[in-house]
Amino acid sequence: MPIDFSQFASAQDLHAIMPMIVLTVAGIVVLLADLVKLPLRSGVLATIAFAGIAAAVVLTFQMGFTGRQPAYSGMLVVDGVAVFLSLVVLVGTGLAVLLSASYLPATTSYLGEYYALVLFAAIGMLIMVMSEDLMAIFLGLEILSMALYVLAGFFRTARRSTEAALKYFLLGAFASGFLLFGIGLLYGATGTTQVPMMQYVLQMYGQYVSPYLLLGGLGLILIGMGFKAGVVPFHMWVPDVYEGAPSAVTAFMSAAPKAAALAVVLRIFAGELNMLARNWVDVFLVLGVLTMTLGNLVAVAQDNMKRMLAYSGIAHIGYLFAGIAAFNGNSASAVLYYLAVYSFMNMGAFAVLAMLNRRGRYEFLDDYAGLSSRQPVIALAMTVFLVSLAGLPPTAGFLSKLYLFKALIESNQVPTAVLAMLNSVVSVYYYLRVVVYMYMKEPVSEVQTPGMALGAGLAVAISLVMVLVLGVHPGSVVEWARMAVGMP
Amino acid sequence: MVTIFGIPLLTAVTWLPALGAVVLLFLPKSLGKIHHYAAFAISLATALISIPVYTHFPLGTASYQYVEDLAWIPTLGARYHIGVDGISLFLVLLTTFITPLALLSSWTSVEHRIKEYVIALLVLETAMIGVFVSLDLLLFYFFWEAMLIPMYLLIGIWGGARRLYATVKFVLYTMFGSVLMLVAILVLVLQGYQHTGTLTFGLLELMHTPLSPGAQALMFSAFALAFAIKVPMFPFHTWLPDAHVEAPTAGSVILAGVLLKMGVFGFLRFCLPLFPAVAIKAAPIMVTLALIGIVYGALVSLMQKDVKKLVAYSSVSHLGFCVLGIFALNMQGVTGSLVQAVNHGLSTGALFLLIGMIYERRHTRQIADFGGLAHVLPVFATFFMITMLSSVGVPGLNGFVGEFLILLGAFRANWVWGTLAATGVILGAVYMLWMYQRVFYGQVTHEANKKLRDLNLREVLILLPVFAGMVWIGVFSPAMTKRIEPSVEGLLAAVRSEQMPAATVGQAEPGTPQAAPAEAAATPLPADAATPPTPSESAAPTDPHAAHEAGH
Repeated sequence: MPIDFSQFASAQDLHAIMPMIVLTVAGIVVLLADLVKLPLRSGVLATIAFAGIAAAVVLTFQMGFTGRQPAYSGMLVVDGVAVFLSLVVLVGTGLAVLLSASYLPATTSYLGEYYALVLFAAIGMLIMVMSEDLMAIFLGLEILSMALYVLAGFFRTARRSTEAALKYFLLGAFASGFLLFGIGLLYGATGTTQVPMMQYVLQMYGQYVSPYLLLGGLGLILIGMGFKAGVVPFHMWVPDVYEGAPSAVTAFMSAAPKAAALAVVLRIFAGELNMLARNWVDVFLVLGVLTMTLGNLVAVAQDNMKRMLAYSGIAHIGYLFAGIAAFNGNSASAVLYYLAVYSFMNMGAFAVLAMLNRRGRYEFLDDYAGLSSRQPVIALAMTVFLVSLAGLPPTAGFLSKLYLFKALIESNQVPTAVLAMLNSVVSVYYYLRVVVYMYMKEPVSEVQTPGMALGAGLAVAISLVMVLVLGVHPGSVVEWARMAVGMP
Repeated sequence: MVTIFGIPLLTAVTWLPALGAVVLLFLPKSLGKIHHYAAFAISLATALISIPVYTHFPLGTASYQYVEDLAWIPTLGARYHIGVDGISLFLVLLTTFITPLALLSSWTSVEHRIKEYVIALLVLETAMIGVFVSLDLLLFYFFWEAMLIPMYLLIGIWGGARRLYATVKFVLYTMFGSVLMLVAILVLVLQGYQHTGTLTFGLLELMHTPLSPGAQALMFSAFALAFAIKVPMFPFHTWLPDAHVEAPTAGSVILAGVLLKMGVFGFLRFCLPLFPAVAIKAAPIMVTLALIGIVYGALVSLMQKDVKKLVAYSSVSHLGFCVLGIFALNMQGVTGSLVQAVNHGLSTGALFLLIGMIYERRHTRQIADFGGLAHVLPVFATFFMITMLSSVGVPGLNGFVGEFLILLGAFRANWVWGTLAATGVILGAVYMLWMYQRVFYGQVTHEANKKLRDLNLREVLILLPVFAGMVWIGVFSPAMTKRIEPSVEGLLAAVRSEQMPAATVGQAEPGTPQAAPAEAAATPLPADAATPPTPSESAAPTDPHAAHEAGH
């Protein structure tokens, strides 16, 4: 019997995965190019990777933020949320490639593998962002995780890097187990792995579905994704891995994968299954408040920049979780906007860190003492990123928090909004402490400051412009985020 | 519409300093002192183009002038809506005139990182003007928070020995107050949205949002906390002495001159019109805190050994007067409070300038290290004397006008308030004169004080405009009160009409001659929109308060 291939992949399906195909091709080209002895090897490889990402951005952008286009018989879906978060993921990856280009020593022998792994991780994230089928989500997550495990241990001769990779791998595998178990329970409860089908089953045959299996399954999925996103109490790995991994990898891990994990959370808990939302409001609120409070309070005690930014990242996930708990259209669009802004401000801060950290210094706060007189431009950029992370105007961090907290207040969660605001006061303390070191302290010891570097400099410049522009004129990005969730 | 080179007037005044800062940002650091000259020129230009704001301001209207209203963030309903009325007019002018003086005052004292220093000051100026002119709550909050970082840097980089402690305390205190205000703003906006169906941050549109009494009380508290910290009112004042003492002279001048006025302004612009019912109910509490502040600030000033600290605590006392005037909730009180806000900016600003000048010479501010300075520094002593007299409220100088109006308003509202506040005036004279006596009179006891140089031309030039302002307000105060009163009248009428919804419109109409004392006593508010505007003070022949006389 002849096989009808159109059943497996229609033009529509291919269109949906076009960005991933481009990334795959770019990854393979990078690997192949690394076999040739190239002049300016590091620059060429980074350029290829960046070009692939740029092409994927254009392709994704063309899909538009409205409409809903299932692909591969409902395994994937191209809708506003998918397109918006794909862009966030791709931009985060692009910035990571740029800053890696100046962070990794040109002599590193595995440069090809590095960029290929980053690209493959991006493919995993795109699958997570686009999938409506729990199996596809798991597949995407594993593609991402495998790449990140290797990347975390990329400096394999460095003990800290290896330790970080091992920790990440063990805990990550554990989390994947939770996720898979949760998927199994949901499948047992509803007989399907597709989220829209589950919705249908619950609507039609709700009384036959075991609530224990259902809630247990959703709970386990939440734990699994909570691990990946770094939600308290599943956050233990975050600071250790961030500290140990090469700085460029830490930067990469700190933004895009979080957006992907939250895409899954949004899809399962705030999207198709939102008829169950009322069961989850309190869970999200409690997790959100715990996460932001612990993140902010512990960040105060850090003197290592990477650990501080790790805890700050945890705090931001807390704000986002609380925001998801508002469960309205405004909160979903606010979460999307926040994720977009977060990638720029966080990648910006990490780009500065990675640029300075090239020769191993600039991991501890002490090294930043007096930076403003040695590198005024870098110090100023870092200040803008930190002010934005703290949520002060005129930066994008302020407006993104405003949208999020407004959504919270709209669903009558005023106490949570107040707690979140007070948390951001705490965060001001530790973010501005870096500014204190950079501007108000004299250097403790002679520190060799690496100068500007093209790649990281570009990443800083892009992030800086975006943080300032989005802080004063959020314009189209907010409108895309609203279109993505079907708001006028 | 009044324009400057085709740019609407207020936008030009607000943004010129920030524009200058951006230009300076891209000029090389090696220019050094040229940055200081350029920044001074920019701030002077800002002061000059702000003059039309005064000259074109029409008399007898409570409406906003030079209004600009443009779309800003449509998805939030936030607009670029700015305008000036009698309440903000003089505060804007105060800002534009103090900033060049502050820049001039640090001519020699700030020598490292001049570029960063002047940029921070210019950005701060834009943020301060922006706060005063915003008629959109988000725009207001935007500028309000934007003031934080430049001030933080000013204290933290160019401040004294304990500057890090002071600056972090300043930022955390202020942040704490303002984030709760942001929650209240959002709640208010969403209530307005439910009520009218349009999402807006516009102050004028939100004024009549119906709120439950409980919500109104909470939101009033959130706003009031932010402003009370900024004023600062007792017991939220502890950041002020630290910030003042550690800040560089220009920082202290701006802090005392303009930043503290933000709180006074905030009460009048936001707390009263947005939550009138609660404002009236809360008035006794606010007045009590203000009175505690007045007396406590004065008593603590009395005990200070450091001149700068003394002036810092005197600010707590003086600003207590402003809050007292606001919550007397009558014409005289509120007008006096605004006049006093400007006065305090001038006289305390000048005191900080003078203290900065002597500190540059002697590198100490301890009263005990001085004595007999009048012999060595006659010009300096004269300037100090005039400033001090302005600060304690001698008739003929500005301080008198404000304190007199406030006391008048306080007595009209409740004679106990007036009496208690008057003790603050006495104490104010005591600590100032005693300090003056110890610093300037007697014999020169320290060898180091004998060789001090008197003021140079630059320093005299800084002080002269301030003195011109002091005398101008002291003698020609009607020019000021005439412009302030219509807006205050409108504000009080609005507050009263909210309080008594049953009252007919005619009753709240200002200017109707129906001043009936019995009626005034019956209403919870002294109904004095009906009384003719305050008599001009320079013409007031008698001083009803022995306090002033006792002072000198």
